Amino acid sequence: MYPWIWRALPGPWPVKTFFALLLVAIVVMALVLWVFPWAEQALPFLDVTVE
Amino acid sequence: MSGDDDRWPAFLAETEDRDRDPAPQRESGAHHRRRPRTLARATHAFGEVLLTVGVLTLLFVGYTLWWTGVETGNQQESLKDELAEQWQGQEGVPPPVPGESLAPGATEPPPGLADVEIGDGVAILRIPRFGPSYAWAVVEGIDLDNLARGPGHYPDTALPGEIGNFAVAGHRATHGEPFAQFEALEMGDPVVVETATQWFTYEITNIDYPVPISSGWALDPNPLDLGNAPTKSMMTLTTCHPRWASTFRFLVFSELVETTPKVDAAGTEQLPPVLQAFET
Repeated sequence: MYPWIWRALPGPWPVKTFFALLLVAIVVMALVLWVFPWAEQALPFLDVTVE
Repeated sequence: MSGDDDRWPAFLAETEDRDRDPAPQRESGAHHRRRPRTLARATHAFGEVLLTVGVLTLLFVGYTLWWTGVETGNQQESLKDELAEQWQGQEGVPPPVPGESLAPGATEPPPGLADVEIGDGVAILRIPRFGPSYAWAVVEGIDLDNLARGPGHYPDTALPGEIGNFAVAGHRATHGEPFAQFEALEMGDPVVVETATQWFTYEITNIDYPVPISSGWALDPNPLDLGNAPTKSMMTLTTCHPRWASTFRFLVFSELVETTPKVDAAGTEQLPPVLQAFET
């Protein structure tokens, strides 16, 4: 998958590197904003209230 | 595809060359070459999956242990700004009995808290045992969204200083972990709650852990004398136990022992005695 992405990126390798880093940044942002807060609910130490 | 080779940094081009079968070999030894190539591809794909899972896991660990704390820190700052703004106009408002410490158990809700809504700042919580920088803005509400911003006030419980029970839940791990060090608390330790006009000094009377998750009694207006009408201002702090699991709960009960107006009759600012040591 990663070689395929690398090949699909346009331009010479410095440009490719720039786009690759941009992709990584987008993915990490999506993870931190949506995926991790959702996954976090399954963690066993967030329940602190009594019922 | 192969024409792209010159655009590649050397180390990548080299790897890719090894993956790719040179055309002549494919023609002469196709039979022997196919299998290893499929195997190589499968291994490559499997390696990518492992690598991805590993990196995701590390990112998630970094998110929980570090990033949630950064986010909570930012939220705390804006909550404290909001509170400071809210309290601004009220600084001059004399407390119910001007210039005098109230008897423990003032029945008047502190001004400015009458219509607090979910997500609003309620008060600032200080525990002198944890040092002068320990000051947490308490937010209204106990959903995960609220608790991610700081310790949360159980909406249906009393407000600071009221007769009844001011109950607050807080994280003990991640999201700033306000209640992380609760095991270091001792009986008699002061817990100070700052509102618009007053300092409420509570003193810890009970530390109870581990208790079952279903310890809803801890939120009762009179938690240490269940079934009887409340006569005192109590505070209950709840968190999880053990720290990195939520199989039990950790409860800290305290009782209001002193009420100090933030501004006395003469107009000078004052601190509760237990916080004076932190001045200068």
